[in-house]
Amino acid sequence: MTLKVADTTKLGEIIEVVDAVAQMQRQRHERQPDAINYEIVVGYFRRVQRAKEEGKLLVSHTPMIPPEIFYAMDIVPLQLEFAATVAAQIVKGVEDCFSAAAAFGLAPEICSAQRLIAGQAIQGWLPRPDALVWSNQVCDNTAKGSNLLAEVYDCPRFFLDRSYQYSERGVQYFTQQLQELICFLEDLTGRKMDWDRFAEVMERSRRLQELHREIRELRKAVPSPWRNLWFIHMMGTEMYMAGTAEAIAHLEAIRDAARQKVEEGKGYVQEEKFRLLTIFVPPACAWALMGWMQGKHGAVCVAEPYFSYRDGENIDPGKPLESLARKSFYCPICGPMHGPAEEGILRDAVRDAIDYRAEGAVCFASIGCRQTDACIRMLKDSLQEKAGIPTLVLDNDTYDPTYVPEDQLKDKLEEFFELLEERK
Amino acid sequence: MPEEIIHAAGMVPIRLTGDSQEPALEEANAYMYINTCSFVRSCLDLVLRNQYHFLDGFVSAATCDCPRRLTDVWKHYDFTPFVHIVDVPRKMTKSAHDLYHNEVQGLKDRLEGFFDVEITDEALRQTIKVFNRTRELLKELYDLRKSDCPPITGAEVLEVLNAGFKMPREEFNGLLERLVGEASSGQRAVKGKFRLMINGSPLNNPEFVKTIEDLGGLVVVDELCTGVRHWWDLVDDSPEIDPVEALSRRYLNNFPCPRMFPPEERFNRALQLVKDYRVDGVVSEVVRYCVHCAHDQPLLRRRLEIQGVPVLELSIEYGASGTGQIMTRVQAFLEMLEGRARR
Repeated sequence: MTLKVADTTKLGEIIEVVDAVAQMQRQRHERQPDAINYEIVVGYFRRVQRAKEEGKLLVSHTPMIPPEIFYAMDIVPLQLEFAATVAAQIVKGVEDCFSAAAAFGLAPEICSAQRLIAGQAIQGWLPRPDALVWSNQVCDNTAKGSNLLAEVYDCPRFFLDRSYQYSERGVQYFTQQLQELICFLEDLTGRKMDWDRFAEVMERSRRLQELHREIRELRKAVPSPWRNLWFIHMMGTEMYMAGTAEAIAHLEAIRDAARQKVEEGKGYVQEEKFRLLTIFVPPACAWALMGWMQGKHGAVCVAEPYFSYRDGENIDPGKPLESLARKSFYCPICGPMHGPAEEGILRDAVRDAIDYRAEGAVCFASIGCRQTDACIRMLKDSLQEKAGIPTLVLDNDTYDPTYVPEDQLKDKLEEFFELLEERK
Repeated sequence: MPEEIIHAAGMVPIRLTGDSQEPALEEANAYMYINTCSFVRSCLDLVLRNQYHFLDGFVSAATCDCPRRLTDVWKHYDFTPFVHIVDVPRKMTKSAHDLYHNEVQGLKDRLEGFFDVEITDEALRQTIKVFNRTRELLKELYDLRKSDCPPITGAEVLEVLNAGFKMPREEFNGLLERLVGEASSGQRAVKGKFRLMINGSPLNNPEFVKTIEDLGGLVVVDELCTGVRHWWDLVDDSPEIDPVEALSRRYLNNFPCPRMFPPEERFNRALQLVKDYRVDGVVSEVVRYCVHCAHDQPLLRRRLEIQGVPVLELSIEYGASGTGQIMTRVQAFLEMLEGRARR
């Protein structure tokens, strides 16, 4: 099955809606970091929209393919899961994508992100890419999903294989893989990698990493200077904009806003009632939940162990490929999700709970995410035994709102807040 | 996961295949989420019900998310004193080989250190011969299934394979040799209306296959990780090759699991089996949340259908016996094959 014609009207809709949101946020002083975030999203999709007419190579890819390589080579990247996430919130007809994927033969147990991505490809919602790049980061679904896309788009493809464990051999292997990816892209563009430009991109990536850590430190403050939704924005910026000046501007804005609150001794909300650890990600179709938790219940998300830069290693712009290879083992998402639990997510979650003085943990258990869900019991036990905090598990589907309605999630959260109140 | 390393250490490798029936999984569900495939939860359930109390250690491979997380759970709750996971690349390139060779060597070193044993090259070479003998005998047995009326049913073959996962290998080889001898004598001929291949996720319940065969299908070959994907290729036992290198090459280059890239390698080999065994139809069983198979299935189905081979897709829980709805669907599939044959 090959895509004949792409109808990118939906992409146009996304740009229009996000642009309007960005304008609205611009008018509110305290929402400057949000305005920058939405402007970045608009810019990102506009580049995708214009790639062909500007004669640039458009490469679609799965999460955790280092975008730094694309930016260094002047290639326009399109992160498919990000596109699916945005579409799930904005565009009508997402259910048609699920139906198209099912008609193709994709089983309902396949995670909804992959079914949505497949459906978008089959329906022609996104422009046909010049190449596909995908990887086993972060899970089996990302490793397998693009086989179907390669048939739909009928374009050159590259599979980036990363080892499971962080070892020197693993780094060596992944460095080699990245080198091969560059050769693949050089063949497509007909241009050689500009290593000086690559070093500049990597310097920006290093700066971004530094900002992640500065922000992590600021978030230890009580009351928390943090707006719950920021971590999702930061995660997006890291995943598809690392290595760009826009990404730095975004994180600097967040850092400055948080720092100002800390200096003033104020929290983001007037009355901070609960400090929570967030395990995994809230449903893309119900991100408003994060604001509701904070605004209505004074529940602040103080740390997200799946989405944090750990202390320790740093990017060395002089060794771009090795740095990117190493980064994949300790960066947000990929490090804790695609790695052993004991020395990874379990250790990090307990450490965060203690360091950030969390009183409870909220775990978003997306039915499609096998490898994060398989850690839930271990996480609950570890957090209870080592940090003394309870965990609420919220069943949901990241992309399918019909799986568990938002109201049901709110009910469960309210029960949990009552429990936390009683514990006080 | 090269079992030969364990055998050469003087230990007995037991392949975890979970329960050979569809269990309630109540114990396992308390530890692993319901979206962990039921194959892995079935293995865990047996551990929690103390059915693997005789194990001294657990070695797994980072083949997919569920076994990886089973390893995490195993380690976290300390089910056995020894736990080790082998990284397995998804490609078959030179650098992937280097990585995997290092992993196999790492397993050998770890077993030697932990259990205070020495795994000599000589012991490895001897073990390779023993395990290759199993593969040769299974090949002979499978070759007999190419005939119009094979001497053995698909359900019986699955029983044999199951025994091989759990028995001391030398003993198994002796019994297998006898079986192949008897099967070659021409005294038994099993008839079936249609020659079928079973493929997909791990399968170990012979009752599932028996249901299909009782309805008139004859399973002549499989494309399963509990079948040909496990035993098909030999390990190079020539004296000039280092045994760890030989094992690494064989296990990475073996009949590909759906996890490997590119998928065409697996598809082509499956299509070749269909041709060699003159298969009339394929029964694809995909255990729920076996994501690798689920992603490959629509692509493989299209390739089979282009070759004129109909496919029945069954979404099952691991250990399913083939009763109820499965039986109805198999029956309808066989009727469809009958209709095609008449035309």
